[in-house]
Amino acid sequence: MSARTLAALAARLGPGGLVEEPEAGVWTVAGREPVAVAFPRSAAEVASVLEHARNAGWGVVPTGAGHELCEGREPARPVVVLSTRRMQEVTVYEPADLTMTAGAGLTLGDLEARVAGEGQWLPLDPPSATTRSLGGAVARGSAGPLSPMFGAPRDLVLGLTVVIGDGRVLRVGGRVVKNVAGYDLVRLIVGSRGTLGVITSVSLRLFPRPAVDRVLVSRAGDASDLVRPGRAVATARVLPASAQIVRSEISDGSALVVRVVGAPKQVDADCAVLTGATDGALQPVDEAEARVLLDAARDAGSTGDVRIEVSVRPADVAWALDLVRELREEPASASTAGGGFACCVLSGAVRAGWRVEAPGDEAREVELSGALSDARRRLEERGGTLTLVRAPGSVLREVGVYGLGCGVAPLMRELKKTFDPEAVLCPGRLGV
Amino acid sequence: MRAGILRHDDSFFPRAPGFAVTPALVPEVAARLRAVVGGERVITEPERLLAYESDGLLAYRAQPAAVVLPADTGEVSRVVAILHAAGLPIVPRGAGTGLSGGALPVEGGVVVGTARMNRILEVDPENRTARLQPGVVNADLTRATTPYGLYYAPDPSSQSTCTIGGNVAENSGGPHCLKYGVTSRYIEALTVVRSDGEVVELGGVGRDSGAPYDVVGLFVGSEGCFGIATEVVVRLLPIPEGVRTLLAVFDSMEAAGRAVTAIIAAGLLPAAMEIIDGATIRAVEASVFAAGYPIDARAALVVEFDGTDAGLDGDVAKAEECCRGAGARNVRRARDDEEREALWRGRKKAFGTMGRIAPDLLVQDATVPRTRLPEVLARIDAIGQEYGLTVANVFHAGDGNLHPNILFDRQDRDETARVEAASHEIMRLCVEVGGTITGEHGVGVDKRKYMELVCGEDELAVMRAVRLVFDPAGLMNPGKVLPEDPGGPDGAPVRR
Repeated sequence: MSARTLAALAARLGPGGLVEEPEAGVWTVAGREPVAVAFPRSAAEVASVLEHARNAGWGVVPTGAGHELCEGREPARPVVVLSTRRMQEVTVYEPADLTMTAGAGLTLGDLEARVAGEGQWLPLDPPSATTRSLGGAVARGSAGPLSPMFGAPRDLVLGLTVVIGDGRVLRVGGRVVKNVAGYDLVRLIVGSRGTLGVITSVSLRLFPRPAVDRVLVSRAGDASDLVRPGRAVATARVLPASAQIVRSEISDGSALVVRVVGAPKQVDADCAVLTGATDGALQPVDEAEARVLLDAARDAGSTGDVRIEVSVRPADVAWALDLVRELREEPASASTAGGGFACCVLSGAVRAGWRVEAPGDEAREVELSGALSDARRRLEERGGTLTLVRAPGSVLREVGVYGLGCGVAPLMRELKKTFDPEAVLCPGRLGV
Repeated sequence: MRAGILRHDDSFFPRAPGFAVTPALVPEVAARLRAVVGGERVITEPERLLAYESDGLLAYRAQPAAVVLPADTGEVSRVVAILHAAGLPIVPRGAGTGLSGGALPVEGGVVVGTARMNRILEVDPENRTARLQPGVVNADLTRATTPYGLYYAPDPSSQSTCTIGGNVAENSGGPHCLKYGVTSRYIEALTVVRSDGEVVELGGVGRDSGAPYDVVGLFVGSEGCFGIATEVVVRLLPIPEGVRTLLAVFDSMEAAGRAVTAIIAAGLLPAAMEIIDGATIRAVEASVFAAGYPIDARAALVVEFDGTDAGLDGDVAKAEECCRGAGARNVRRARDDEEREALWRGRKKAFGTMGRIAPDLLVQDATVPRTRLPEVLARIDAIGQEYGLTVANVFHAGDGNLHPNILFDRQDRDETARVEAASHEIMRLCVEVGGTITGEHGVGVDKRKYMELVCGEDELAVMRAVRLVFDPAGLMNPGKVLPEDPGGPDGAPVRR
């Protein structure tokens, strides 16, 4: 039956539309090789993929460039990976409206190139931003370093075309910046990580590119020494574009990386305020160093065999950094191979990743599960959260991706059922 | 009692369907409600209920069986559970300033008002958040946080009376949303009472960082149909160091539109960009709020920048250049707070002053892509002429959010019918150019009939289903937002 399904799908998607038995390791979904990879060209073709997969008893895992496929739990049944790579068209770009509508497969790098000529940018900077697809970044919903100033992905997305799990094609939101017509399905879909629908097209809000983009840095051997200046930045009377405490393979030790954007005189004045607030700890760096550190701040903690996202109140970041360090089982000055961390001092979001030294070591995995569950409990006691983005299968099963409160979990399950009653999309991925 | 029957001032306005069959509020239920909140806080006397018959949209009226005024989450939960058990429709209400009829009672149903839930529970300057009850007035929140150098950004025009709970329900905007975004961006967490009385905590630090779905974002703007928010955690911003405001006066709306486009093209990001048109200018100047606009002008543009003092003069100078380049006949910069207030006065008092020149005013609300504004305004003008109506426009030019205000006399049935027809054409026009039927006032009861202009059957069906996830009984604010379900009686949602 599966051969017939694949033949029918291949015919529907045209040349280059379906790759059967893809090369191992390229499209792996949390440890499981997909039956095939589909490259639909339209929402209608996406609906066809969902229908064929459903009839064959397979799940469908949407992706753009494949960045998040390793995240979440291993699918419990065969899956088809659906890549939006062949949907890259910019359908509407009105520079004077500061809005754009583009296919979900457009990479953020290509989008950037397209709008830069008009003096504009999309301040959406998830890890590995340039190679990520627009749809993938929106579906993942990760708030990058710039989000405290410019908004999380959910604040930048004006509208979406999405094929929901039951095959219906929905156009939600619009392409204007203020829109309250009906319930806000846009915010529900953004960040739902492909579990409710496949995003095929996105309408976005763009911003004028700031005239000046400056980076101030404070360095320390130990990240905890950067919390004080970090808190001073977070409570200063000017809001920088981003402020991260970061440590990764490319950061050369720990650094507080603060980005200030705007008009020349304003940037000068803001930098003076922030430097003063930190007793001179923050200093400007040259462009090359700034570029490296901004990349580090954006990407740190997004690689590794174990990845977590922690959220705490900004005043608790010192405590959260200690907790993350305990989890990574190393002193702050030790090697950062295979991961690192980034902590947004403005929002209290910490991302961390690390390598598992002995994969498959059962005792070690039990120990890790215990440590993660304990960390989550301690975080929740202080109003925080811990999301387990990636971990060995047994750990993910034991700890769960999220630590949902009892009142909310049924709501989440009901929402999933409303959009995807047969659980075709990312079966089991988030444990919802 | 047969529901769905509203007393209506004018039958030319379409009726707002209510709930299928509303059971009566029997004395035992009223007694149970009184036992929870205290006798005084359950209002059933017809003369006292008069004040709750409509919200800011006066075209619709309906008398609830009772108004209940609980004091906190626990009381709301118990009240709602009682109403749920009795099968009574529940209509949440803040200050009742909404302009789309979102707080219009269901005839025979019960209004749950947040008037007594007006405490700011905590201001946390270290984390730049505040936790408050939904009945806190928008402007009071900023007043309370000002000593910490912080403020709450969304600023709907009614901010001196409207409540945060209402802002959450409507996802309210305001002039400064151009730079800062709407209510949704500033809500971190909500305590919500669902229609059966269950209390759920939505969001938290980072809002959706610990959950697969952004249910806070989904709840904000749900217009009371998902539950009652009984506590709200908002994000605060540092008060900008400086503000600069300028006013440019134009002889044509096209020129004002060109100025707005030029300001955006120059890479400037004003905190607000507002236009009032010639008809509004004349109304303002004829009132006690006269701001000194030339009465033969066709458009007045207010542009405001805020942020670090050092950068502002440069921004304003560039914006002034854009205005002159677009043909402004006069550009003024406010020199102090008093002048700034004066420049804003015409904009802020526009709705009130128009009320003085006609017995009734319909404040419309729609959004179009910014670049289509001049064309849309010309076509709205033509629609007004076609129907023999005066349409005065006030709008957030920076984000294309229009407020065409139609002046009329409700006693004149023919004119009222023309208002309805013209409104429909304006909505159709805005959608046709890529816009939407409401930018910040919400759908409520008034715009349900336009929802099909922006949503297909599938979108509406999914919205109905999502609403049932939160409110399986369909008791929360029935008859609002979504048009009648062809499969359900009187628009009550049907689970399928």
